[in-house]
Amino acid sequence: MEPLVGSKPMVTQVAGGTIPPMPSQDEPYLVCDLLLFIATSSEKMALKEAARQLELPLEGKHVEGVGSFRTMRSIGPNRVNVFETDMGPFGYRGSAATAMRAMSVTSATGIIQLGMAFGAYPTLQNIGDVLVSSSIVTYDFRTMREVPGGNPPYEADYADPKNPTPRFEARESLLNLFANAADDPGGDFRVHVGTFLSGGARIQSASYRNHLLRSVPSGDRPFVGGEMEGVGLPPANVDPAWILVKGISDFADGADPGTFPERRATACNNSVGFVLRTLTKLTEKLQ
Amino acid sequence: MQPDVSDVRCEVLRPPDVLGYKPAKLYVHFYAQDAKELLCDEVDWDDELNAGLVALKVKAIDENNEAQRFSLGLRAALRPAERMYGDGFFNAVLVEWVRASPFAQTVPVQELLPHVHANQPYRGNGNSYENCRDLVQTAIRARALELTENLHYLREKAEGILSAALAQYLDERFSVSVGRALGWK
Repeated sequence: MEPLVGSKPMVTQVAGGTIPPMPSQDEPYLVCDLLLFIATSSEKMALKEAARQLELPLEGKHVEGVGSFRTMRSIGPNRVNVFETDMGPFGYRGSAATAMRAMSVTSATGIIQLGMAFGAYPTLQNIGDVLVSSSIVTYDFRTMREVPGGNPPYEADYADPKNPTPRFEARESLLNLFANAADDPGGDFRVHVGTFLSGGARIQSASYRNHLLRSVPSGDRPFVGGEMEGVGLPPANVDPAWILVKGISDFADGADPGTFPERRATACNNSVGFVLRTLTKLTEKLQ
Repeated sequence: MQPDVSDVRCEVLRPPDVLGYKPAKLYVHFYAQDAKELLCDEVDWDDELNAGLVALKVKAIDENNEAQRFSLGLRAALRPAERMYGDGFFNAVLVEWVRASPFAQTVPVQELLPHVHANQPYRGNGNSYENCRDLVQTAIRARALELTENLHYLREKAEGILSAALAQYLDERFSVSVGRALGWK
């Protein structure tokens, strides 16, 4: 056998016939490189529309023991499948359990969680702007302390040195991809890259949002917004596999509920369109 | 190094989790001439610290542990290519390279390859394919040189360690053991 280690080049020939044939796959569209996660019917509709506009396939599949998913076959160099989750990280169909199952059955190396988020700064961001996570901070992980005579008589400590609120970094390759696409997002919206607050709470209180923004350490980039599913993704793999790309549907203040359906649609359309457009343009970058 | 320290070894500990592993810890053991352990430092795994220990010619406690350590070293070394070219293209180039390499004939990698699937890489008209392949090859060859030049393993031992390390890297990257544990593969 040719030496593996030593002064001779280990391998240089990879052309045509020297490559062993690829093993057959029982489920040819199950194995993929990237997973798109969606959690709501608005995200599903946005995905269908963006796929139609970009002329990308979106085929429903059902595999015994795995369940239902959709395949977009190959978008540029990435084989892409879509899995639906429940909102939030909890439960069998929540983002945490789905991430572990989907990564193990598809061999995917990356997860892109699409959808909606709240923006952190109503004066600096607009509805429909797209947020890309450089990291997430799981704000539920905190120490609650008694404050005698306080109002309320307790407080949250996010920087307890024995039990600090964790921050998880997103996948570098995906962050690099979407951050580099931010200057040309393909629509009338801006892209903000930074840290997300992530937790199981549906926040409809500007006071609580501001409390989190003031109290939770954001790391080396400022918070750009918050959401509910990202907190479930870090456990899926020791090496970070995930990124969040989400449109701003609100500012976590519960304001103006009558216009929420329209804002939600804008947020989903922009985030999904941005992701699919960026993936389709990847081939142009590969010379 | 303290004057009475005659040998330094490192040890990677990766406790199994429900699926996969918990984050790795790195232990650095300092031994006296009579092989008595004088000191043991524990730190979270750090790619740069590991690279520094390799440069200082610090071996792992045994070859199995060296393979675990080098699987993490490979992960760090291959990350720039992954970051530059993205998951799908990098996966395709990496898997093609491994299939065509002598590693594909070694037992640990051979057993894994039927469970690893990737597209044929897009070759285009420019240099992306060659550049990505060179980054992959350079990262792996540099680990081979570390084993033979820095850590002074004989070629046969180095081949075994690197082959096991590559298999473990591929296993984790493509969730092979995790999928098997769940009954998928």
